Amino acid sequence: MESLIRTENVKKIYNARRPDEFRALEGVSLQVEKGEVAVLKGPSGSGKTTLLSLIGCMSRPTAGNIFVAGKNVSKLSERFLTRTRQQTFGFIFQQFNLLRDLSVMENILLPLYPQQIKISEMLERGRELLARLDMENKQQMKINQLSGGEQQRVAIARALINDPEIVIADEPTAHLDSKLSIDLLGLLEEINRMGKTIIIATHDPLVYEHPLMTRTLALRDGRLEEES
Amino acid sequence: MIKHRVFIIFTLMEALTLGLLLLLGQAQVSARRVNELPPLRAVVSNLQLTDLSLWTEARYTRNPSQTDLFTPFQDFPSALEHFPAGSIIAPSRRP
Amino acid sequence: MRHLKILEYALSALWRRKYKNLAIVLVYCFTIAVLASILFLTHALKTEATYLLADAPELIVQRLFAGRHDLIPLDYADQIGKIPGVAEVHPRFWGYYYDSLTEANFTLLETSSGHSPLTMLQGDLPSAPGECAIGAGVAKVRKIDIGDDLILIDSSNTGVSLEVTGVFSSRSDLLTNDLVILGREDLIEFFGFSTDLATDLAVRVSNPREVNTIAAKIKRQWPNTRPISRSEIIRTYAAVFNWRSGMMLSVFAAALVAFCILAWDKATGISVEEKREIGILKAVGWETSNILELKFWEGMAISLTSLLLGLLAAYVHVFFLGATLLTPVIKGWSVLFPTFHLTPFIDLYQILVIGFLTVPPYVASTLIPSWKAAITDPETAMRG
Repeated sequence: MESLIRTENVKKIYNARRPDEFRALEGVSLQVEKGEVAVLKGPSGSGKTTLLSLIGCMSRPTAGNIFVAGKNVSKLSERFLTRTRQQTFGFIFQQFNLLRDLSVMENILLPLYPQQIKISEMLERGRELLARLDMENKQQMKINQLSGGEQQRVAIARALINDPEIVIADEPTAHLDSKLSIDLLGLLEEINRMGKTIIIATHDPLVYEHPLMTRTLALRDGRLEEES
Repeated sequence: MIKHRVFIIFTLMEALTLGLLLLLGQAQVSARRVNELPPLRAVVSNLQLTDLSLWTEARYTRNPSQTDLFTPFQDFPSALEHFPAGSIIAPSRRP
Repeated sequence: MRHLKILEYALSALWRRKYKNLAIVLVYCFTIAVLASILFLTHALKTEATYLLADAPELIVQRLFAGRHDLIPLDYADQIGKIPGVAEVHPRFWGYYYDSLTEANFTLLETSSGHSPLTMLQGDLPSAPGECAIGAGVAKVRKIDIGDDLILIDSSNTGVSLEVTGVFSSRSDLLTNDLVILGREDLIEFFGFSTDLATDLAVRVSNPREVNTIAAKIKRQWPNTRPISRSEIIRTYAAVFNWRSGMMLSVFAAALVAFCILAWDKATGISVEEKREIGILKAVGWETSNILELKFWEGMAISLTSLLLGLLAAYVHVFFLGATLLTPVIKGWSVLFPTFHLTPFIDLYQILVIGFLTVPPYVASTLIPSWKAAITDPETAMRG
């Protein structure tokens, strides 16, 4: 059976043929099966964020192929790349990337504005998700009025609003203490139980040594060192 | 999420009001042409007027249609324009 | 549906910085209102003048001496009357009077008898010596009415008392505001006209199409005269408020500078916060076209609102309030200035031009700085 995600010798070079050329990835080949929780571990600068952004259809590789659910996304135009990203992926960013002046509900619904879906349905989905994450009574609060843990939940809710098949989390515990990190892992476990595939990039041992992880991929200097 | 509705309604109301005022204006033009302009034209023809009574500062601002090119320089050949209304009226284009 | 939601987001974004955006709308609206007021007023005045002066004398003949307007001998009238095509020649007697009491200038005009009653006149035109009819402006500034006496100082420095028999309605201010109408004999005596001179001659022509021919004949026969046709009179007012004249140019220039400052502020790049916001939107699935649509709606909301409010304000100001705010700017040094009861003649072309000059530039100045951020790779946003 075809893997959900497969990369073939993927390379990414920034500022190619210029004095500040930077080779972020040097031929990475991997696969992730449906329902897995895969973790990309490695030190800063190893290429984890770059690999996540390529898999997540945020940008295109310099060389190599990337297959998502059997479809080659390496050569798609911006429009189809965006569509694939919208339909298939949900992102939890390192810095949450929430808009501080907006309310919780407005932040969660951000991905749905440019889609052909009614306002009433948007609000319905948002309320459902917030209820599941125990945040229903905070829907009108501004982001800067929330605690770190609450902001984390908002970021997760936004990632799930499109009901994506794959959830990508980039250094999700970077700004969290141990307790909140464990809470986060609990939430990720719940998400996995919903049938979603999860890919996490981290250099936090609390995460990559957690039993939830079904596949571990170690990156260093843009190369895949080991897989387990 | 009603801001867009409020904005659309508000903009439509503004546009409608403006449209109505323009239409009302048109109706007023027609009505005044029939009711008010004839008596005013009678004043013009009876008194043989040639100008509007707008700026009474100086001769050439009071009767610009009767003015020659030289009147603004009445004081001295290179006198500067010193009546404010003179800067609103364009000079006569007659030869 | 998508477009309405993006509009919703745009309005929310504007509302988040409500004080700044309300201030922009206010300034923008005010600039448009001033410009539109001037355009409405001048167009209405020009059109009204064209209508009213359509019954002005067909041909006025002036005499010039050393390039200045001089009095015209009455026997010119007899000779001009003999030109084929001339129906009637009527000598006109009129002049200016400086009233030291009120520091106002009046225009003194004679009227001969036999006119049909004027509905714009309360009372009557003077029919006997020692009588006068006055404009509403004269009545107001001298605080007199029908039955009162108007005392003027004549050319021999003698006080002359004239009984007011009629006052023109204020609705005819645009024509009669500063007029004092006297009987011909009274006026001749007042100014000390010689018995053989008049101010100018009003010529009536049998066939209106021959006016220019007759004017040319008069000019040829009497080179020191200056014939002025009705079409020239009307053309004078078509050129009033010419944009190249100092006052209008100053106002337009000021408005243009204000607008350029506004556009410059927007066009010199978007803030770090806005760039971050666009990056996040791209990261969560907004396409470049969605971002540009968002910025389009932001610009459109502000400029369209300002335009419509500005036009409404200008219309009300000029046609309901008589352009009271512009009056101090336009009146110059005139002591007597008419109250405007303008007919709402509107040139739709002017409205379209205002719209064209205000909305697209503002939308462009909102859209263009966001372009670079909008086309940025969303990956950049992932790096925070």
